Amino acid sequence: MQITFLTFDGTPYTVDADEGMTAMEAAINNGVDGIEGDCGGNCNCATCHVFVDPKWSGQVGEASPMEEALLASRSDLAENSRLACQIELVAELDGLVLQMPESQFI
Amino acid sequence: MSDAGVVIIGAGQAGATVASGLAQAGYQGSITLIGEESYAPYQRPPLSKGFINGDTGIEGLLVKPESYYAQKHIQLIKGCRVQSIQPGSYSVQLDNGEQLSYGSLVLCTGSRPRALSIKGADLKYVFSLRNIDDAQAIKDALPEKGRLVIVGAGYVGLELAASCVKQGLTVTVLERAARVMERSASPQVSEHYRAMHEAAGVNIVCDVNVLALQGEQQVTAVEVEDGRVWPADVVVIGVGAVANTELAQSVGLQCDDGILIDDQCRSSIESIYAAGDCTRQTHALLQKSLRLESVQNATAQARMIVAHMMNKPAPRSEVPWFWSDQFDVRLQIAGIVQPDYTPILRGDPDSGSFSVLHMLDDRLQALEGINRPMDFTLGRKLISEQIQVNTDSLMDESIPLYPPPVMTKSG
Ligand SMILES: Cc1cc2nc3c(=O)[nH]c(=O)nc-3n(C[C@H](O)[C@H](O)[C@H](O)COP(=O)(O)OP(=O)(O)OC[C@H]3O[C@@H](n4cnc5c(N)ncnc54)[C@H](O)[C@@H]3O)c2cc1C
Ligand code: FES
Repeated sequence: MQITFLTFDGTPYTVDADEGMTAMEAAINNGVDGIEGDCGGNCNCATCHVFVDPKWSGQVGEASPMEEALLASRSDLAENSRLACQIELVAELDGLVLQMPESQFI
Repeated sequence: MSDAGVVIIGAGQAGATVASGLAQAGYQGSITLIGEESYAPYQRPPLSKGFINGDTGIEGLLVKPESYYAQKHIQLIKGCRVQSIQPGSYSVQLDNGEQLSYGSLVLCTGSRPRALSIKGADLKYVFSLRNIDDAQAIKDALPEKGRLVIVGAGYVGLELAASCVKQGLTVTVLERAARVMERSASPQVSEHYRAMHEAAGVNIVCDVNVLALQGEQQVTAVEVEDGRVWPADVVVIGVGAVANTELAQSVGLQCDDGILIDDQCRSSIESIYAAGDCTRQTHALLQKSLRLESVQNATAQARMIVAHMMNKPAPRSEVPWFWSDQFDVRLQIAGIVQPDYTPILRGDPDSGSFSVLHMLDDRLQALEGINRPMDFTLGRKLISEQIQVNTDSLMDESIPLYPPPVMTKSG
């Protein structure tokens, strides 16, 4: 399956991913800049923040209470915010588009 | 910046973050990351948790996949130790004889387990837990249903205890202090964790001084000062860590239990920076000199260095934070818990979800959250902004910690 990460200025990076991995892993494994993942996907650090393309919000689902709490620490929080390490890539998410916030680029 | 590029000593969490940060920021010079371990940079937190349990393999520990470094033109040199630094000629000497020039040097040498100088400490099946090889050796040595004795009830020791008791081992933790996690948690939280471990079958013994490890070739028992003896198949020593500052000291960098760095992570010698467990810094928000051992500190300092080298605005200073996962319980600590703060309980410990708020003059200084992620997130804001708050409202669970209710000075 494939996932597209958009930088904050809209440049797309489309990467191959395997079902069962998380969107954070898909980004890290493919060297996509803009997803840090400091805590290794442990839902602790909020450095894997993404904005889900509105077309995909239904399929991606809701954040857990733990994730929601962590997201609240982000000053760039939006309605479509998620943590990429908490998005598990199931077959229906083939083609998913995620935008990365500017603050995650040094 | 000099053409000689950036050389980073120590390929751990901090070193990897400096290297990837520079690559991401478009640094044009060469980036060389040198580590003495035989692995690409990896995360240590799972070593006492998922890795010991078998939930995470080595691949799952890596900060970036091995191929990342070449892809980003970062020269990763593994299995190689930097032996000396020559600040006069801007170069470092590797243990394979090679000499490398630098324009900027970054020391990310981390810390190592504190050794216990007691009889028997060098027996077989006595370990400490810092790296993959340690964790693998412990895993391999643990016999099914065997007896594990852990010396030291800090985070690493307790996490290991939780992971191992779940696997059906007999686990004993011996601690010199009067309570577990004494160094960084409050008495309330220590008590909660002690009870939790005991309920799970871990034998926690505080107020004991380990005298010697018994055995001929391999360890068979742990002896404490009052004469009691605990039989053991495997012993793990977890009595804290010491900053790796020898290299820094050898060239005269100012050190005081950690390489002293300024608010931009510069050491006392020009063109030499340092980040991570090996450093001591006056924290910009807390105005305290701290040597922190956490992922957050390592990555925050690494990003500060990248920003400084690339002439970018410095990242905002964050309240230090840390997490520990034991059993299915998540402890998150923000700020530094100190005995002179006044603790306030929020929530009922018996429910398994509560926070301890540490106050100084109506201002939140630190917070320990047990399965309490929202308190942790909002508490960090309160600590960082140092807003005066009403203690009663903090105890009221129906009121979120942030934004705090307006203070009213009514009788
Ligand atoms: C078991 C365990 C569990 C932990 N759990 C947590 C947790 O839950 N949450 C949390 O926030 N933190 C946790 N930590 C702490 C966290 O892992 C460290 O704070 C972090 O790794 C520090 O990063 P660092 O880059 O400073 O050091 P390290 O990651 O230790 O990297 C330093 C590297 O430098 C190398 N090195 C040293 N000297 C030289 C030299 N002269 N030449 C070449 N290489 C050299 C070392 O071999 C090492 O690989 C844990 C640590 C351990 C050991
Ligand atoms: S990687 Fe840390 S929260 Fe997602």
